[in-house]
Amino acid sequence: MRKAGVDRDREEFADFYQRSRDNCLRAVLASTGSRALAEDLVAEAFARAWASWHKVSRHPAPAAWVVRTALNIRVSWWRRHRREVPLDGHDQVEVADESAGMHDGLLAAVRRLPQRQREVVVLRIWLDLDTNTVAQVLGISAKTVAVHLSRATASLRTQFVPAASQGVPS
Amino acid sequence: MSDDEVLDALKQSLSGVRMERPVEVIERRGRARRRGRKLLGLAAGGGVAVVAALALALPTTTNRPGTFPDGGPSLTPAAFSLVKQQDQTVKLTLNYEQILDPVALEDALADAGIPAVVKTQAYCFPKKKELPSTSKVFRTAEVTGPDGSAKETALVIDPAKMPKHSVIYFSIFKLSPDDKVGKVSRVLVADDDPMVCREFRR
Repeated sequence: MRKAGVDRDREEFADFYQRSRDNCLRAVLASTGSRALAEDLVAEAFARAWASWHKVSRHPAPAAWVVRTALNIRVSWWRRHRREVPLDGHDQVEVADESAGMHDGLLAAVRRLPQRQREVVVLRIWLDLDTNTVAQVLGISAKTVAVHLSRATASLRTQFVPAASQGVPS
Repeated sequence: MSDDEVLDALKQSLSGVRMERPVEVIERRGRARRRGRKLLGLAAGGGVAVVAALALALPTTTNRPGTFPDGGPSLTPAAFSLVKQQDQTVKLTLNYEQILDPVALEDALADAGIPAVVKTQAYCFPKKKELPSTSKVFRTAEVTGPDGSAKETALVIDPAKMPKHSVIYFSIFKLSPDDKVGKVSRVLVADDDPMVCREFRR
């Protein structure tokens, strides 16, 4: 009986992981800017979600729980990260193109947003949460969510140069 | 440009990013956390005997961030990550600030087809020479963040290039307990080569 319950939990969690992992990674990457760091943070946050699956599975937005947990872990991670030293060895260093496919300027602009605006953008855009769920997750009103999103969008718009206007003489 | 267009463009900017870590690795880490929590719960509600048992159990069941400053089991990022890449090489990223659970890393490497021995707080080197194919098996990948500040170093291992009956020795250590940084070394040797290991104070 208990084994059946554990198997069901595993199936549920595996399904949740498959559905949410890419979006969670994108959300955390948008906030951190480092792919490897974001992946470690998200993996750790998912592991914590699995360790507390009975609680997390009842959360109104488990993916938002993962993202917030990952960003909270980042504080302690960053403290350690600053003191890292390279691996020993004399291998040739290969510079990986981590930013391929990323619009660096835009993402940098997201990271420069005030924290609340950034959280709203991340939850709305990459986790596809509606306004009410974002409000519930952040503990603010739906109206405040709309105001933060509007301000963030206005700020981000300045980073865009629409393709149609490029090279068109005025 | 409308608000929706701005948000769509933002969403598209990361559409190619995928999380590559298998669910099994996540579950294993989650189980380890659960076990650690149970032990902590027992210690909180139990007597001296239980606390003593915890002190013995932690080194073999979980990572040991407490060996380093600021560490604690409740806020521990993954001590390592192992990702199998499309070209069948394996990318290993270590958090040098944590003393690893050596068995966990050995198991993960074995799952990825890499025979390895992991030693913590010890530096191991071969009595003979390192195998000549070392340069083919390892390469170092350096990753710099978009703003140039976030820098990480990972080791890329090609298990297909490892000679038969070879093994990788990883040593993860700090030279003294007060050091702020950790060091990692790796060496490719025949699995019957004698090794010399120097232990450091914990």
